[in-house]
Amino acid sequence: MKVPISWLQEFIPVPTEGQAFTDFCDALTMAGLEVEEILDGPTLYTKVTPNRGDWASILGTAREAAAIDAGITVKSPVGTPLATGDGPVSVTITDADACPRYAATVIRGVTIGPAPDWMQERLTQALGDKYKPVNNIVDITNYVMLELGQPLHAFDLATIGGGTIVVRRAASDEKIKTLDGEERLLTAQPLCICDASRPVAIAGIMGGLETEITAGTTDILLESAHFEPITIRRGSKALGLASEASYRFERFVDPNLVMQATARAAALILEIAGGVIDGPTTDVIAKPHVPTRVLARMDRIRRLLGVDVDRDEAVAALKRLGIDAERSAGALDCLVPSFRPDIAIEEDIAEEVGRIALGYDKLPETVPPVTTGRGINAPGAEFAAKVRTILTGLGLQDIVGHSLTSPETAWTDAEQESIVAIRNPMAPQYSSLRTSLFATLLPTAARAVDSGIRDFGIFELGSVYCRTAAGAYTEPRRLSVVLAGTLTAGMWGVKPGTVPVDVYFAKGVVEHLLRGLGIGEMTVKPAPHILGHPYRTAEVMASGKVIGYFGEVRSGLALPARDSDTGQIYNTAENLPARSVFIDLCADALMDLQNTAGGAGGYTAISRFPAVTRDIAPVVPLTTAFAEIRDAIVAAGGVFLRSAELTDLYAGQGIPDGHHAPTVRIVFQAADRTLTSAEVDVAMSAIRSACEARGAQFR
Amino acid sequence: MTQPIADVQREALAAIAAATNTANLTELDTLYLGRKAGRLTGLMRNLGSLPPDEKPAFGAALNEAKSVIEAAIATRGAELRAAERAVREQGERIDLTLPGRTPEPGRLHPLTQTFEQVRSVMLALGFSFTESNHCEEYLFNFDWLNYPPEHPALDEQMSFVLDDDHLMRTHTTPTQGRVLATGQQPPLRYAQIGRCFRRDAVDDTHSHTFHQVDGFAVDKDLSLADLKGVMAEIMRGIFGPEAIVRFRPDYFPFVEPGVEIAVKWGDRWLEVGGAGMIHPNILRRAGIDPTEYSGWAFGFGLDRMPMVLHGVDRLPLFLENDLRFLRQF
Repeated sequence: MKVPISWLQEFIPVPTEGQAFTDFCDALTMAGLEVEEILDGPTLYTKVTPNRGDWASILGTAREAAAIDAGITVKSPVGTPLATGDGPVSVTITDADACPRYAATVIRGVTIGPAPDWMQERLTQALGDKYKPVNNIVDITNYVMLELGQPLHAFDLATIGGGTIVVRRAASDEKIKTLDGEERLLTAQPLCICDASRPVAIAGIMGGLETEITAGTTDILLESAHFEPITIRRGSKALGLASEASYRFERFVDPNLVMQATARAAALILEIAGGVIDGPTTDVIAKPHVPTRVLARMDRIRRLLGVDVDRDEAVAALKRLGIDAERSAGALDCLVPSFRPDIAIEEDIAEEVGRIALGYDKLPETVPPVTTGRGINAPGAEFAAKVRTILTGLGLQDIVGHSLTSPETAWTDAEQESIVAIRNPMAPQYSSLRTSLFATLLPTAARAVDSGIRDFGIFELGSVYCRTAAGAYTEPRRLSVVLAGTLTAGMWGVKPGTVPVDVYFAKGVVEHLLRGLGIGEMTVKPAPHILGHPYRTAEVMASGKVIGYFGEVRSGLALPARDSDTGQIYNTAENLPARSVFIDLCADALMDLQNTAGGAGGYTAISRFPAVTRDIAPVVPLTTAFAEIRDAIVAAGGVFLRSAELTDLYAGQGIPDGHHAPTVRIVFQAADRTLTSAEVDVAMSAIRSACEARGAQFR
Repeated sequence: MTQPIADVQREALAAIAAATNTANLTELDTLYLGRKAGRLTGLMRNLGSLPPDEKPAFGAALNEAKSVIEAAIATRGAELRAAERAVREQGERIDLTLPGRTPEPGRLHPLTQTFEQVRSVMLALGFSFTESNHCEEYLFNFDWLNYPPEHPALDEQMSFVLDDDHLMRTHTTPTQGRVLATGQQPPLRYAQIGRCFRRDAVDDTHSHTFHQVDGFAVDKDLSLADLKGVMAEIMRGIFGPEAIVRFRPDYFPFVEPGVEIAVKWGDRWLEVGGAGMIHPNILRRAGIDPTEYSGWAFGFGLDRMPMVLHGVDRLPLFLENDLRFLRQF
């Protein structure tokens, strides 16, 4: 709400500059009515919270300031009370819950013209661009609405058929052309103000064009009514039509303002547009407002706030807020004013006492004892931290990407079928939820390449989203990785490609990850993956379950992904460096399989005696799997074999075509003594025979 | 009789002093002390031909001369080795202004770093962490949180709709209903860190996707002052021991009284989130007697924190994942 200081000054004294003005604004902010900005004028730009519709007026702002500062008194709004009775227009309310009160006042002989400059100026200050000068009558209704908070409406009396007003639900086949020129079907049956035959306004939302005040209008019907918030909100939502009036009615308008606002508006009309009031105001109260009483115990208030509050100070503060608080035993019997519908329970009184009598700046800081035992982390978070430690330790960058994306990255039929769509998207690049983490990783990689970074390892551990055939939403967690180039890129003088991130690097990452998580042996076998080179992609199995895949990104296959920020579409063929590799794991399965029991992984004793190291380089056909040779070596190596690791893989001069020679470094060691070379020779000869039995030759 | 010994010693000491390098010294060692042809060793052979009464004196003089020469060689050797090492090391001079050489380290995303920092502070304060889905039921996102049906408060939570019963959660506060709906009885102290979504236009300080932490406690006699104390502990854990927490009245349907939390960091007040005493309607719905127990709850955004702490001026940078950005953290 924009509150021009000059207008506010008609109700309370307000300093306009210097420290006093800053203090005034800070006091409002600290008591709950936030002054977000000081605009020209000066004008306060305040934030009206949804529970405090009364703040959406100059009067409400003045009342709040006066409640905060005991030295301030609010002047009553100008306007002589009007007589009520059987006026010239009859009013019938058919839905008392939706419209508890409706007052109709007739003023005859007005002269239509522009509103005076001072009023236009204030309306401009308070409404900004939303203010469009109409004429003196309409501007006055808006002026009073801003000043007091009560929306008003003026009809050209000559257009009101039958001299009667009926407040009723619209029939579903009725329609009305509203002031904005739109013809609106009233299928949703909003509450309407009708004359003898037709709706002339949508109650609390907008008036009708046919009954508006025009240059030729001489007699007017001034409406001031109280409408129930939900009725107005529903109507506004159903019609897709909101106004300054509906904004206020949705937030509850003080029912006691009805006649006060009528008097204020009538006085302004007579003064500015001339004319005379014809007869008493027809003020129909279909459902009287019942004031709320709240009994608030002082000890409960003190316990909620956690600090002692003086009862007399509490009573005084409540009185300043317009709450009539009577001492009643250890409690305060509070009669809540009609402009404070938000106060209904003891806690609400505690808040008023806390913010006005005490001030939250005086609230102490106490730290309550922990009665719930130690804090326990979420298992998923603990798992994620472990995974991130392992992967960043291997030089990979943690990525946190968008969940909202577009359907392009649902590369498989299964993903397409389970995609979760947003019913009311804002833009195509965030119209659905990701089904794969590559929706993030591919654009991230593509941008890296575009910015000149061609060597990287990136991973994301996060949720993807599925809608099951039964309509349930699931959020499986995945762990995906994209690697490209080399991880020695930042090392000057190291020849490019010395340590390529290739499929074996990816496999190493998977191995380290599983070892770090305490997941036992994994097995790997060739298997297809949508992203993968058909002969360079494998599935990973652990404990009999497929837990994911790794491989080389298939070249020439353009799988798309859309950047959630820019909307740009990238694809795997054009935007990834050649021979990039990927890992795609089911994080939920890893979490299930991980060994969380401390120490259960066991350990292998370290021998104090020297180790003997021997290398062998069997020449084997390319078709012989290395695993077969290694298994043979381990099986034949005897009890002292500690390890058998591949150190090189050679093909070329001296090796027949279709063959290669893996160099395997074998380490022997005994736990209790130094091995003799004779013992090692025996083992090595057994190993050689085992290799030869599998078709290996030795040079 | 011992004159030749004295002569050899004098000559040897002079030569040792004049030696210019360790190789030279090795030659002198051989020349004077060598087992086969050493000059002193040669005199030793004369020992047998001496009369018995002269033998002890001659032998003693020989041994004396040997130790003197050995000591001189050792001393001079140490000097020469030091000098030679100095020369060698000087030749090994390198250009220390050349850049360091390691592979690019793996790093945690700045948001992950923030989440983990907040998590460790809150674990230390006894909060246990839960996790729940981003696709949430209206029941937990609003109903459980005392949102009145068709209330303007809903307008502040512009949401992405999935179907009539589900939306992308607009805050992490559903964790409250999700815990309370299990029927767990007080004392309770839980928290959740996670992703939220609002149908909010993207600009430098807003995104449709953001992250929050929510925490709540229910126990006997919990007060707003306790909430302020706990918030101050958390904020000092994040912003440092000088941080000051300020409460200002604010409105959220799930708390009464409700406050906005701001933190003074440096000379700025940063609005970080909302908090308050859990609304009695929520406790009652959970089967907890609000006259016996009270609770507080708070929630604050986690995306602005690394912005403030690192001076980042554009919020969307965090989820854009530009490696040139991420490699700075």
